[in-house]
Amino acid sequence: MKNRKAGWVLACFMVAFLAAWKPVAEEGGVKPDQKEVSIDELNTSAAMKSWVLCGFAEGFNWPQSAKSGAFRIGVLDDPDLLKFVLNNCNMTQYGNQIVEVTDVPEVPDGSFYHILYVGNIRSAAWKQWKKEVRDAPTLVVTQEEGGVPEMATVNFHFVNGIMRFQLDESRAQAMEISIGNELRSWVE
Amino acid sequence: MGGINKILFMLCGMCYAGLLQAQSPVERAIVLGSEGRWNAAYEILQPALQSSHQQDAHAWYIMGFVQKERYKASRALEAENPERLAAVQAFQRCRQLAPLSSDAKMAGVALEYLAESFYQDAHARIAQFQIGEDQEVLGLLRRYESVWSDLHEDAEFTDQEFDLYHRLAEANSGFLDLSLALEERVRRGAFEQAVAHYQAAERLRPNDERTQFNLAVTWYNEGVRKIRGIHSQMTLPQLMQVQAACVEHFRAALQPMEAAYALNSNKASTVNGLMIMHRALEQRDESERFKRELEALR
Repeated sequence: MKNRKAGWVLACFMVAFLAAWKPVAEEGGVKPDQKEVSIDELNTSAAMKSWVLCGFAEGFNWPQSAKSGAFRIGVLDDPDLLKFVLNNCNMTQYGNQIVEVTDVPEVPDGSFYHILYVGNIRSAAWKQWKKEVRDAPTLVVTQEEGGVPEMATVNFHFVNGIMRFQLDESRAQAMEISIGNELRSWVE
Repeated sequence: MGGINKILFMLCGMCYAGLLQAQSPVERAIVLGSEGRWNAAYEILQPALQSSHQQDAHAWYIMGFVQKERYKASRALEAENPERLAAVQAFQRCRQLAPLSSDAKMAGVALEYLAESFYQDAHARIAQFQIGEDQEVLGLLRRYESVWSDLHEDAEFTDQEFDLYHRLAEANSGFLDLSLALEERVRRGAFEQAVAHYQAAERLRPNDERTQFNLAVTWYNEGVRKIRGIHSQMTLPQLMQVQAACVEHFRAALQPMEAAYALNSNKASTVNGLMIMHRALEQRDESERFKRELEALR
């Protein structure tokens, strides 16, 4: 009799336990699907090149004749790069010169650029600009396969994704533009 | 404990107290438990389990409930919560000691609930995740697996582990935003953990496209963050160092993104990812190829 009553009590105990237990599962909740991480769509190639172009203002030395007025950086045929260069170094100061970044018109307008990046050496615009910069101390920068193109001074060259610089020393000397020691170690 | 439960426990207690005149520590613990006095029940039962009731399966069974209620009162989320561990040990001990079949069955049910509580606490910890809590979350998962597999010999945890690793990776990724004022060392730790968790998920399911994609993007975005961190005071050699570090990340990103593409070449986000990654590595022809593929998909 006693055992039967004890059993009844324990049955009540168990019923109470089950009723008392609120599974934590209801609170945490396992959600089956996983999120897809969003890729950062920044044009890293243009961003990186823009910083390097800005750095060229200090990495090279221009002749005395080009050391007054604004320090002008122009970008031809590469709107993405232009946006980054504008954003990163327009209106900054190198030495006593203020950097002025501009989109380069397709038809030369007589403007002088300290640095001119040419996005496409096969474009009609560059054919015209080539004549314009022939005798000017303009550091023409390109990114082409097969070495530094005619009339350019620096060519970006990538080895396994890492940027290196190809330099036309004779062109640089003719323009009286000299390369700083810091930059020289990155020249191929 | 809810109102209905209190009433049930009180009924149990009244029945027991009125009809049986509690005598043994086990009986007294039941009465105290019915009154919601779990600590008092524990104080009564604990010495008995060390001595006279050491081999009493039923006493361990009751102790399991007592400890379980003490754990619930604490509502602690840590894996090593002593009351929860003690509840598990008590129920397991009960099952080892040839209990009544009803006790064995109910102890099994209670252990399943306790096991699930570890798993759900792991998720709750992720919901409030702070950097460096990875091992505690994984500790909860291991506890869940240990208790559950003790009940079910053929238990298999791939789904749960996979899900948790993904969530841990996402939780760590949440700290990678540059706008958060975190020490670089701390942020770097979060990045490494995110990668490690995706890699753990990848080992569980190498053919899961989402895992490969997320792993790739985590690597890639970390490289981009380095570029976003460039400022005008950096020298050219510093820029070159940043670039070298970025390229390492971009290369690491490419392999899992290619794996995701091999699993599903018709997914725009994957094709877009490959286009972007090849562009970042200055592989223009490859980037153009995926750009055309992306246009065709859209």
